[in-house]
Amino acid sequence: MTKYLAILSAFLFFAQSQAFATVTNVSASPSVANVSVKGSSKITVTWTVTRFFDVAGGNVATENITSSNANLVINGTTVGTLGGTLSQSTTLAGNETRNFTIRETLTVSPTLAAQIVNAATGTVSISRNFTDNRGGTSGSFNVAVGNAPAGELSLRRIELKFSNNSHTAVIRKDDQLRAVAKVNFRSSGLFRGEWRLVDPSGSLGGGNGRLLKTIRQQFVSTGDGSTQIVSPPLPSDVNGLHRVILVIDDTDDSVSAPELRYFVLESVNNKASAKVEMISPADQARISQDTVFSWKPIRGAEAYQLEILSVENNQRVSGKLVPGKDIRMNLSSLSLDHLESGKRYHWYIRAFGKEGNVIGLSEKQTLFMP
Amino acid sequence: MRKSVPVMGLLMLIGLMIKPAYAEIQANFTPPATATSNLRIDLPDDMDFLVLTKLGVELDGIDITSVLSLDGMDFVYTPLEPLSNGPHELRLVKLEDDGSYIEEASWSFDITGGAQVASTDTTSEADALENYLRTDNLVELSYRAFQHLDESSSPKRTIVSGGGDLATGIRSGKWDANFRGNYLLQSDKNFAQTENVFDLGEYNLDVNYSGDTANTSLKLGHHDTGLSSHLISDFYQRGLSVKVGSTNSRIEAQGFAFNPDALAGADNVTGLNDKSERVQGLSASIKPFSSDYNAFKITTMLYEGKGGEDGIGTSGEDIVTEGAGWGAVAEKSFETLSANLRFEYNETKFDQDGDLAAEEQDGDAWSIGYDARLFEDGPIWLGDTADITWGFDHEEISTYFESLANQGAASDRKATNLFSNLYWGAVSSNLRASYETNNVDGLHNMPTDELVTVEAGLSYGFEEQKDDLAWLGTPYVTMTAFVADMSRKETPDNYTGADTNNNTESISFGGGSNYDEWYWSSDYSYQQFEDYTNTSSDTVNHLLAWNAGWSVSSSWEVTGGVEVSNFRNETTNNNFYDTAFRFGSQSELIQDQLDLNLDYNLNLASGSDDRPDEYYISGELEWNLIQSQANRPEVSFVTKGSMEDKIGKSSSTTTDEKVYQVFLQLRIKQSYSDD
Repeated sequence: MTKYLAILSAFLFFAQSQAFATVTNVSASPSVANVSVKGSSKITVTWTVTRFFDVAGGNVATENITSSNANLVINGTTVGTLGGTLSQSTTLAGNETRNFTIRETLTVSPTLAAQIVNAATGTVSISRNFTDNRGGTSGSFNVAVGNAPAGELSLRRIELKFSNNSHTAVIRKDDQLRAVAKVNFRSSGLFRGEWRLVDPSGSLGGGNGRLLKTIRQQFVSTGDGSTQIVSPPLPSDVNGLHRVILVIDDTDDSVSAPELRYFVLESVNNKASAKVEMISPADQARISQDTVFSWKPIRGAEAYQLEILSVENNQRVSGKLVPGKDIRMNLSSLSLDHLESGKRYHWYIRAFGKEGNVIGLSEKQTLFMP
Repeated sequence: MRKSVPVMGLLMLIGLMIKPAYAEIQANFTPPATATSNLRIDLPDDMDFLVLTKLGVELDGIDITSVLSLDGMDFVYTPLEPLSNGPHELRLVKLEDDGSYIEEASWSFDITGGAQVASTDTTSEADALENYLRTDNLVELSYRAFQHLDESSSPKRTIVSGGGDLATGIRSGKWDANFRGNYLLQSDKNFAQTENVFDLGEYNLDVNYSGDTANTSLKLGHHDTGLSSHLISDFYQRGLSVKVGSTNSRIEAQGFAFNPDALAGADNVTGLNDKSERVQGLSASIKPFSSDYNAFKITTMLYEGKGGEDGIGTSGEDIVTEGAGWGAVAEKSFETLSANLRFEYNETKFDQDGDLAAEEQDGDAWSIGYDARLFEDGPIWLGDTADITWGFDHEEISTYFESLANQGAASDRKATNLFSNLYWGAVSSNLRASYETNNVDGLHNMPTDELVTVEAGLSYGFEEQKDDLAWLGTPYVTMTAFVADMSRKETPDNYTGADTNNNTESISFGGGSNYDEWYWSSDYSYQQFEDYTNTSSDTVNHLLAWNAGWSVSSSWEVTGGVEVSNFRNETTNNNFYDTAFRFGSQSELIQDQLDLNLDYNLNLASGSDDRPDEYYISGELEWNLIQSQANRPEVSFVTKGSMEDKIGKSSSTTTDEKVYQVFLQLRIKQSYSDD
């Protein structure tokens, strides 16, 4: 009897020491990811790893689940690796099955993208093998060529510059300036961001400055897309260093917040800075007394002056001056008489501030005197 | 602009030639005593008011009738800017009902000691004075006296900062040279833009020779190539370009080399220090048949280059690391209907990862476009001329077309666009429809999507309203609308990716008005996105904004605005509300001595949004210790500061963050101008 009890004890002891946990299942979300045909693509994937500990009782099993790298598989053959080691500590109680999630962002290089593009449709996948050193299994997701589904906007590049084309600006007090963001993207989706400004009361210290404007704008494109986002007018009523930042809610972390600096100072020197946006007439208009010149108002304008210039020598030949609250004008015969029939002229509008300084200028356009 | 200014005594020598008045009106002219003094036309006291309303005045070819004020029976004009040195001509005319006019009187007078003549050249931004030198500078010695912030990520408490710019030019015979540059000063190098305490910002040097038959120009610094095509476009960077051309612009050639990234600082002053960060090329244009402005013109261009690190204000991937390409543009304009025809073709090679494993890719892009007026002489509708333009363009940009000289151009698209613009009186409207597909190279395992968009816009500026409607001021209205429908055109066999079928719509209305002392503007926009494949969420976005400004007095101005937005995720039923309020005040408490600026911003996020609420207030009080005089610095003592508070929501992990700081500053301003 004692012998049988000893054998049974030994068996139980041995059986207990042979209890194990293992990775039983690996799945990936999304089940299909898109890669671009050119450039590198970022794929954010969440791996769900199922681990099981098969012995009841008070014992626990703590192990790291690890995966050394992801594999790009085309037609059943591993053609490349990407990503790095993933590892997560997991603890299971006896007879417990639990899912553990690990999130990562994989970068598909241009070289791998080229291989994917040339592969037969439906044969490309990315897989990972997860193990807890006792047992492991693989999971994978499919890879498709082309832009991500609508709603998954992918930002490629953002370039900020000022409305005067510069990237570092020194402007005068009350000059009008905006920041312009040229955004390159793939697929379609909602762009979420903020224009923020750190003004001189904080640019030499700390803080995040203030919110100028929240941006929620839908971007649409079949292939590669490009668009511009224009900031509100940037403050220029206080001397000192200003920093304007485009903060982006970018889910795949492909772009960080670009930033520009501009410095505001006082000046006695005259330089137009704001653009007078014309509404009418069209460029190369045939002019008459019925032609209406109209434009969008400039803040602080005391007067607007239309100037008509000779194309040959850029000398002013005619024009008209109106008060600042007017945003349209016609030319009378008094002005048109200075123009020769059959000739082209250049024209633009200048906006004057209360000091008599030029604060705005329209683009130079052309008109024709019939 | 009603002012009555007494005639001032003579301050400088004035020559006066008065032509005797003729025709019906006996008017006398009082010439200005100085370049900034009023001009006064004395009209007969018994003049018929109806005749008075038909009079017009022109000064040096500019009709100034609208800005004249009436002082008794005198027309008074206050010059906006100082009259230039030299002769001037003033005319008094009577406008007839048929649109013609009769000259009633004219006078000539001279000004000496006035302003130098400034060029009206708006393309170069440089005033073409004979020689000129202008500089503006500001230096601040700051001490952060009180604070509650993270010092480890902030500049030092005592800091010298500043900025300035310089513009200068010389002209000698057929040569002229212009320079413009700016700089920044920051004594804490860790927070300086280029990690140098004092450094160059951006600059441009422009040297020109205008010969009898040929012109030459050399540009160094930040400038644009002036070329516009799929290959080279919007390329305003630091570099060098040399252009040679005939004076009649019939033939031109240009060589250029630029740094592909936005630079500042003097470490790489030309932008060309490193061959691995350079774009260089050539362009040439010729009008083979005629030198007329609308003659047939061909422009060819080529480039090669390598990209570098991200420049200032840039974030994301470097789309092109190494590449080369060439292109040609042919264009012709026609007098008839002001028509324009344009065709271009470009080819590129680009290496996505430099000399690494990825192979070089070839791409090409071509486009053709035509636009013209619908009528030679537009119809008259309700007394205003209607001018209608229309046009189309078609472009095909291959899948692998990328240019280092046009980073991020939208490629892989085949698009046809139709557009039309209407200019009628003060109305401006536009309509555009386009059809676009991708997968231009026809890659066998890539799906092809198609996109149809229609856009429309309208702007109208009213005249100043009078009498019962005077409360409307001088209003304007705008409207834009946009519809985009995207769907799958072709799906490869065994394709495992998602389908495409969605719709985007947006409409916005805007308007505002200007008054003598204040203005207001308002905008409302609505945007909707619907995904019929249910792969992503449907969304709706509303935005309403209102802004106003008021000149309370000549020394006090206030501005303010409110913006309310609601973003709704139709699929998850999450609503995000944002409310922003801002108020600003700029005032001169003591003239030329004490200025006060205040700003308050409030941003509230609610609904499903877990972003913190933000409160921000800042202010500056500047006491002028030494007034600026001609070429003498101005010195001020400044107290300024800000406080910002972020209050996290209970559902978020953001804790309350309060930051405040108060600075004491000595501010020195120096401007110089030899005008």
